Amino acid sequence: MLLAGENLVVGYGSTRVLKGFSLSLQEGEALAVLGANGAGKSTLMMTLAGLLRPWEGSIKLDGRDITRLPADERPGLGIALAPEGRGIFTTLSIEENLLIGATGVKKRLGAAEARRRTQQTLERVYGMFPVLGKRRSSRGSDLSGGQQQMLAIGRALLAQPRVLLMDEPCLGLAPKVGNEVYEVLRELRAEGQSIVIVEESSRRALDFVDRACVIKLGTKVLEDRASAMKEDDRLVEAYFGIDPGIDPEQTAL
Amino acid sequence: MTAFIQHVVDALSVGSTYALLALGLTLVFSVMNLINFAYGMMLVWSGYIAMGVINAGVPFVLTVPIVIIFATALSVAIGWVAFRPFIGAPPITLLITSFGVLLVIQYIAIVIYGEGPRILQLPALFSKDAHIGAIRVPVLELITIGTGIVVVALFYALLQRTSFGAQLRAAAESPNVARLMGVKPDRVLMIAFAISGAIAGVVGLLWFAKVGALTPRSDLNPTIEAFIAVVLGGLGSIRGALLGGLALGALETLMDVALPNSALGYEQAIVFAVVIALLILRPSGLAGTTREAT
Repeated sequence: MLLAGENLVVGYGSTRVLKGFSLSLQEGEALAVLGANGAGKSTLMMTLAGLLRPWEGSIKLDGRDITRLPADERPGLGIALAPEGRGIFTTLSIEENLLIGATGVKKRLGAAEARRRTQQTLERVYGMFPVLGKRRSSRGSDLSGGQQQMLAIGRALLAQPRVLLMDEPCLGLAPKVGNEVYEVLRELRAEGQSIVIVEESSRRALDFVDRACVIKLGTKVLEDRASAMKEDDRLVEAYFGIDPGIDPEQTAL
Repeated sequence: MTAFIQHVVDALSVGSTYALLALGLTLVFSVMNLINFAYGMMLVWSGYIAMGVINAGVPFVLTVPIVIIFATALSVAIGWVAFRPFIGAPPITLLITSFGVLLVIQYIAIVIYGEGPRILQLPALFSKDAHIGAIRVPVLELITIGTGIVVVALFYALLQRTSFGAQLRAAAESPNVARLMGVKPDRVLMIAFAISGAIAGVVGLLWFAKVGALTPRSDLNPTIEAFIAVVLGGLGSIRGALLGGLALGALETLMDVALPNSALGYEQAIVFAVVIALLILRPSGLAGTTREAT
């Protein structure tokens, strides 16, 4: 098992948001966590990335307990999060934004290898997103929402991630731009990149992941292979709390 | 014309000192939201160390690096012991801590050096004038302007051209996202304290070279001038600190020239009136920003 979160209880103040949520990810696998707004998806991502500390439960990477490891140590182990809202540094240039993603790599790979891989990945990101290469000296704030998302993905790749965490990568993007983002994610997945993605909209995510689970009010209510879930009415029921057998016309007041 | 150039040199000299003061103060603020009231005491301690080293017969060329190293070490020690435990704490906690640090290092100075003034003996060169054509410029002013240019250039190179500079700007803009990139906030903070301390060492030498003597309470004036420059430029903005420092230097020099003798006692009040007026018109200061290390 590459990444495992077991019985995670996480909250803010006295409010519990995740109520005993578990997930597991194999090497090379892509997992989607689907759920409505406020279900606890971003809380889960921040917990896996180390920004929130679980009240209960554990997180393991390759069997090693990293539950109490601070957020700034996790990129060094290969956990990279492209956060919700993209988190671009507006005062840094595009290239600086990308290179800062490689901060933790040196510790894991050694200076020479880190330098080589960083340069290689930088060229690759510029190849994937030519607009970033053309505007490498511009500030992060000069980019459109879609370009910022490309930058966030590129920056996460510079961390040479073993696990890529994507928090709602298409939020606020035009559908066409969202499709382009998913095109890149599909490419990464084909190369064997392990990915955990959280999404509010299920269709696109289910088309490219191996497995998916549905989170509702901090609890996992459904988990299955993505191909099975696409055809399954249980997704609608789990997601919206609607019994698909009931005709809404008849129940409407 | 000669008089005008003379005034410009004066303004640049005073402005350079204020700009450096403001730079050291705003650097730590931009990373930690810390308004460090103990900053002026860093200058005072630099002055005392310079005095001790010079009195021990150490050549001045060695005094400068010794003072800078001391101020850097003192700043890092204060940052580590007093402020690092409060990363992420509310600004009021940091403010009270900085008052505490100010009192501790001030009273240590009182115990060691007493309340009375001590003279800082500098090489004779510092009190001479340089003649550039018809203009007579004190050597100390030229050194101050030159030092200001060198320090600002070094600082900009560090901030804009190194990976540490990018990490510092990232941590200043969004500490949590920076952590997600593997940037360690306490490491960035300690380096910010180190740079801030090194600048305090340089400014301490320049400041007390000009004043000629120091007491454990000599921190008040540089602290006030630094805060005025920082607020004038825009709290948290490095560009603003430089602008604010130079603007304050220009304003004070202009008042020295233009105000009648009877009004010179009101200089500080006029400066505050200008700052208040500016903040009403531009609440985020001259640089127009409040939170970025640019």
